[in-house]
Amino acid sequence: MKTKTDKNKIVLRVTIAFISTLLVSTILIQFKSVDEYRKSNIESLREDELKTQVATYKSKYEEAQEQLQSNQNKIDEYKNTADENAKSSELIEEELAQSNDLLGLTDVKGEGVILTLIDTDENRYTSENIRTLINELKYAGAEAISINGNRVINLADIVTINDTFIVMNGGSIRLDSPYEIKAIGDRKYLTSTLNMKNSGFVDLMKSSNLEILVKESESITINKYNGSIKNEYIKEDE
Amino acid sequence: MTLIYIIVGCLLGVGIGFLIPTIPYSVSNYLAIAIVASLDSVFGGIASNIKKVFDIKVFISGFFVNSILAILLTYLGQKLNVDIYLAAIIVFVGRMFNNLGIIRRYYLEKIDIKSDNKTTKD
Repeated sequence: MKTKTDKNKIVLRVTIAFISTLLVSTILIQFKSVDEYRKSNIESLREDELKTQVATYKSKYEEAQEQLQSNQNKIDEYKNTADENAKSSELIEEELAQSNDLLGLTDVKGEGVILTLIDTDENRYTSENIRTLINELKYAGAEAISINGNRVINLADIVTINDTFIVMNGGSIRLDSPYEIKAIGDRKYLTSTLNMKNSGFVDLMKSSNLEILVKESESITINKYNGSIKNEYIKEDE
Repeated sequence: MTLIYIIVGCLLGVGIGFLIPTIPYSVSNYLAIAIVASLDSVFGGIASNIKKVFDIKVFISGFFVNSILAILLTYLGQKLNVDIYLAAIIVFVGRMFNNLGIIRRYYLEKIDIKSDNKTTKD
């Protein structure tokens, strides 16, 4: 009888211990779960909290929208200025190309005439003759001229040194017979100007016993000026 | 002696509770109501123990059946879109306060008797 009550007591205690274990562990699990969801899950929030959160998110969204708008406007502005810059740089480039063409800093091509001046035993070409020829060609509308492959730029000079040889471009290039002179321009006009009866360059030279050949060509290539153009004394007048 | 078993059980529960991972939020609703129900049973058990009418069978059946019933009622309430779990909580918590009142009064009487004994001794 006594053993039975003892056994009952033990069973009771074990049962109670088991129940307290169950209860405490369940409570702990619940604590943990609720805590975690409070932190991370929107479902666990109360309605009021949700409302305030929605409101804050809404205002944040509106702010972000505004910022986006202003940023987009800025981007548009930048794009416009960039376009303008591109346009102006294009214009500048065009101008530069034109200037280079005018200065003789580019290889050019076009119709024109090729003259060959050859010294004879009786007479020799002087720098004066060549200058006159260049002048005549310019007068006849030549847009680019070269002598023996050397481009004649605006500042070109052709002089005789020591009465013996002809040099151009500040003495850097020596010219010798035969002189091959190329000129790009209206070829008909160029040849007619040169071939004028009596007063034309060809007749004048021939009358001085000099040999001159004039050849028209549909396509002449004239190379660019090889030197550099330097200004030392001139300054832009403001 | 029984107290030691309870403490050991509680400590074991703490260990197990820390080891078991968290449960999904939708389930934790049911678990909460089950916890309230079982706490009610525990306080009821203590109160009946004080009244000397404690029966382990009543206690254990109350512990489990009440929890399961509470869970089922909550489930039903969710299906019906009626917050039945509120009714369950009101009943359980009301009973808990009742039982706590019984326990409180019992210990107050005990203290009174002790101090009376002391004064008579003096």
